[in-house]
Amino acid sequence: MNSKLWLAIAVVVIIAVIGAFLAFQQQPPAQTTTPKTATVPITQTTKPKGNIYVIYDIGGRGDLSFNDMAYLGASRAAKDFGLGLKEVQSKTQDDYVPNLRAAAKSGDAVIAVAVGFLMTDAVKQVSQEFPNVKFAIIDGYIPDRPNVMSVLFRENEGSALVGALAALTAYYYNCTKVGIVLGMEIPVLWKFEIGYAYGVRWAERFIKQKFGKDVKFDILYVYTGSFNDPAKGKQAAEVMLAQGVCVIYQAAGATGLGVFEAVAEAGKKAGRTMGPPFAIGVDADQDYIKPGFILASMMKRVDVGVYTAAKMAVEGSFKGGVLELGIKEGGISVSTLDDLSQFLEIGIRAGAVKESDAQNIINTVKEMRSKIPTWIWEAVDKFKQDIVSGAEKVPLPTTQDQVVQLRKELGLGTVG
Amino acid sequence: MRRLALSLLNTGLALFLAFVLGAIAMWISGYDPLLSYKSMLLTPLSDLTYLFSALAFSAPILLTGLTFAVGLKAGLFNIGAEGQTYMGALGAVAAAYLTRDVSALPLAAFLGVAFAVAWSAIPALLKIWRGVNEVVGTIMMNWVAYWLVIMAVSTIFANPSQPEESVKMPEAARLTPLVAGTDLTLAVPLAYLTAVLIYVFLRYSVWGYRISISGQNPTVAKAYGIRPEQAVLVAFGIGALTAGLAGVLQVVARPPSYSLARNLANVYGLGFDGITAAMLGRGHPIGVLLASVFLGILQEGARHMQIEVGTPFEFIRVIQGLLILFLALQMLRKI
Repeated sequence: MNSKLWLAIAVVVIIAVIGAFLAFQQQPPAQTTTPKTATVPITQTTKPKGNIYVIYDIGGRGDLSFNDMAYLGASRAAKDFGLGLKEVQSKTQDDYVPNLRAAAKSGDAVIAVAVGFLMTDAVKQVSQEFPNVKFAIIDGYIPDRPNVMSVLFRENEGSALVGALAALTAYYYNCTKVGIVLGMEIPVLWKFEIGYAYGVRWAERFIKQKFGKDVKFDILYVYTGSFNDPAKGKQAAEVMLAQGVCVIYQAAGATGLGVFEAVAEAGKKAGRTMGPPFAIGVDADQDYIKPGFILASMMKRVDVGVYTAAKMAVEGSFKGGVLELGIKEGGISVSTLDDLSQFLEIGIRAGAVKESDAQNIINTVKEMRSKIPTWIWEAVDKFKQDIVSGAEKVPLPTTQDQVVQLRKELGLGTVG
Repeated sequence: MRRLALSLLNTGLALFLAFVLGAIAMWISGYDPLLSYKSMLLTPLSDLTYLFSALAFSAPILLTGLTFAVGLKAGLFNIGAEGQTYMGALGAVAAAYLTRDVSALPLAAFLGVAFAVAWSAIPALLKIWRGVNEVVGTIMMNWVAYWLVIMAVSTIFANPSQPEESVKMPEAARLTPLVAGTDLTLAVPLAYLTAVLIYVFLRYSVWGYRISISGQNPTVAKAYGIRPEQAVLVAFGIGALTAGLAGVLQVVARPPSYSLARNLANVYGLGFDGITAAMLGRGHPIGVLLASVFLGILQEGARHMQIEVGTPFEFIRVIQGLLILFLALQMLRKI
């Protein structure tokens, strides 16, 4: 071979080595070390009785939300029950079945947790092939297999809480319009929409009782049709803000990031460093994304779901069917300052938040929360107690007809 | 014989370098490269289920690899397999939408291949008539196909009970696993057979000869009375045939969903993996076959590497990327 080629290869090799070295140097240590710290010491030093397998869909770790929370729950369970933790990411959709199969075939799976409803078909198939292996699926609905536990969340309850928080905050700032921006119109999202509206109406009753005033809130809702289009979310939120809406709840995945953007921009345009207007986050604690403009987040504790499923498998109380987690079970909550610190930590480890900003963010959120009068937080807390005790029943729509009916009853209005 | 030995040597060198650099990257990040490679390359061969899974992954990569390989023979840099695979899958979904019995299977094959061929005709004709570079043409068509198919799957072909995917193939029209409990469907032998047929076609048929001559030297081809434009058209058409077939098979022969994901997750990237296979296989159909089996083993091995050693699957991508880099370097030298 000629010398030019060798030279070229040598140059490429050197560049690649240096590049790889720099890339891995800069990479946040968490990404590379978490799997190690989670698996190596546990699997090698204490001889675990088995492993928890966590199978992610193609989104996978690093989303600062759903998947990272699943990991959090699994690693806590592994630690508490002296088990190993094995994580398996999926490169394509076709990896779901082989991933689950490999976990099942390993023979040491205490439980295999499939994170995300996209794996529903795959879990259905593999659970049939391996009837002796326990499976859990987060957000997927497989009610009829003795070895599959479907972990579902009562998002309607949490949405009701933030609905009450939204309405009471709006009332405090002399505003009577609240809104919700949603993703695709799929049955799961009805829970968010109707729950939110129910919370707003509860707040009306509460205001009447406490202040003797009759306030009627307008509730605007819009389905953007997508979960990954921040531009659409921003546009939807801007329309709402132009109509005088002052608190917007988002249940639209990444589309909702545009809602935060719009709300923060509107606030800054009005010369404020904090709301109103406010946005409300969803799934994870998102309060840090636009600190000061995000009132709170409706948290869906995927970590609690994974932990509970693993615990039941270890303790022998595992059984097939649906495991529903709501406020009472700790599966749903409204974000607190403690949650914020925890999520900031995840964000710092993933490189999404600068460590130097963390304290600033906490201070801002703390200040914002202290500006909301305590009677509002207390009211929301009372509402929470009532839901837990069963005194308040948040409606749970499952069919199109029910949704149409509930929309009429609760007086939801479309934008425009 | 000498050429064969030399190309084997070159390919081996590229593989070796990619694996060495991959090992260095693993070592720097704190993972054990030897154990990782062991579970990546040996575990898939240790169990029939895993081996069949690897073969199932190799089938679509082989078919899109053939698209690129046939293009290379005709002197084309045809990277349109990606979009043509989408169109093939769309054809299969359309068939599932139109008929709900066993007739959906032949209809899917027909529509899928027809869509893919039609899709490749545009860059092919643009090249012949207007001299538009096929790289530009096919890249554009890939993106048009991407958004078009997403639109179709989210609207008319959406599955009302599972919003994340298209309508499913009717059960009677599915190619289910040949061995229960594995992913081995008819797609695998079908893909391998296609590779052999393409080999025979290129090697022994008149058109195959015309394609190779036009690819090697269009002027000489003209002097022999061969019209290089026609050879280009045929090469594009055959490439679309295999890419379309890949798309169809991803829908009709891939358990458990038998549908097209709304975000195209089960066809996305196949065309580009095919380019790797074609380069690794030196553009020879049988070489592409071997290369695709190798890539299938890597993909299956990524899973076991995660489970057994805890090494992230992204390292497979690092290795594949380096491999392409070294192979491209060797190709550049030839030009």
